[in-house]
Amino acid sequence: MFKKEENQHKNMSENTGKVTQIGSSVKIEGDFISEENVQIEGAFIGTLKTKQDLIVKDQAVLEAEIQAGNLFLSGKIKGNVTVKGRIELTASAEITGDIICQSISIETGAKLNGKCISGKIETPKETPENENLSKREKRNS
Amino acid sequence: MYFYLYDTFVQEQKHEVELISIEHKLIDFGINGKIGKLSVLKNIEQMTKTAVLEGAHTIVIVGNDKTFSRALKTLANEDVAIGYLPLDPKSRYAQILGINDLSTAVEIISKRVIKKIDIGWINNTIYFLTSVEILGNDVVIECDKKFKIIPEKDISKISICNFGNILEGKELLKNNLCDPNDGNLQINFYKKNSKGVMFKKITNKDTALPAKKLFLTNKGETDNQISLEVDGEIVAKTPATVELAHKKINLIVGRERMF
Repeated sequence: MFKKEENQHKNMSENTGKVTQIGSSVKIEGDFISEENVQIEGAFIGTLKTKQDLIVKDQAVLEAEIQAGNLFLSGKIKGNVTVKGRIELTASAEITGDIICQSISIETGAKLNGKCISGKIETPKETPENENLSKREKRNS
Repeated sequence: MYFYLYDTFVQEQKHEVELISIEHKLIDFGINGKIGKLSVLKNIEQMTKTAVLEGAHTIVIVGNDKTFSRALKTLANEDVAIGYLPLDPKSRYAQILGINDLSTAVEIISKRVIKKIDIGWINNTIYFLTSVEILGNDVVIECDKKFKIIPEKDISKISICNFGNILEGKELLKNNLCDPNDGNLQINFYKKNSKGVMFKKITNKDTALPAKKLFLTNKGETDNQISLEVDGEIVAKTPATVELAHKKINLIVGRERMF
């Protein structure tokens, strides 16, 4: 149990030193975008994006669309999850929603209710048509 | 021109010897200038504005941390370098600026190493360098118009830090300071102190996250306005906006500064 916690912290420190910490005594509602590692122990409702690691501790409850670099989940997530790197679900983890990731590890006891697509995530290529579309969108905005 | 702003208590007889020695040193270093003395009739704002109009490029605060904190609230508006001659040997501001004692303070001012750092702004009127403190949990904080933070009942204090609450605690701990040049304010939520386990260090920081602009309102449950404190002084009440000011502040610093 303790080894896993240590590993999670190692993973975080490998990326950037800064950690956004959302504790068990606050609730966040809305769109949260972070450049840092994010660790959640409390409640979150909305959308959450980070290019770094997202650590969801076992008391945490998220009702959110999530995009992250890596996800280490011990708590509960209700919503779709897109992760560029890997997802680690511990025994207490619970996801109700679809997952897209590069790789996934699931510990016995974890609950996953939804579609799971793992493998190389392809980003849409810029075709001439797409380029024109995006230029038009920019002009309109 | 250098302008030296003396607090009222500095003019007491017990500081006379110290002041004379400082003034001699300032002459030795060739950085003596005009002296302004605060009194019941002359406040910091009036005096600093007049000094700037008269051509002061450096304003040096002579006093203690309270004087420095009060002066910063108004000086941030002016395009000047700000120095500090601390008469309190335990001054926290002096520690973070890298000023060890009064004699080195004069040297530091003469070297005029200037560091630009972020400064916070409350309701577009009051500046702060350290942090805004809110006691209790009766506020809702909207961050960058994107998300809301709702503290639960066991939160006892909220701190919105530019530099951090440097005046709190028995000693200044570097770990408690925030980076005043990261382009963000940091919001910290602290839990009520619980009984600790023996030999186990208790840290009661529950949440720490960055944001640029915050809007603070009361929770629905209470009609009472909540106080916002800076350096132990109530400066505003909810609803209030706390954000990073568009400009930076120019501080004269020593080599051993903590940022």
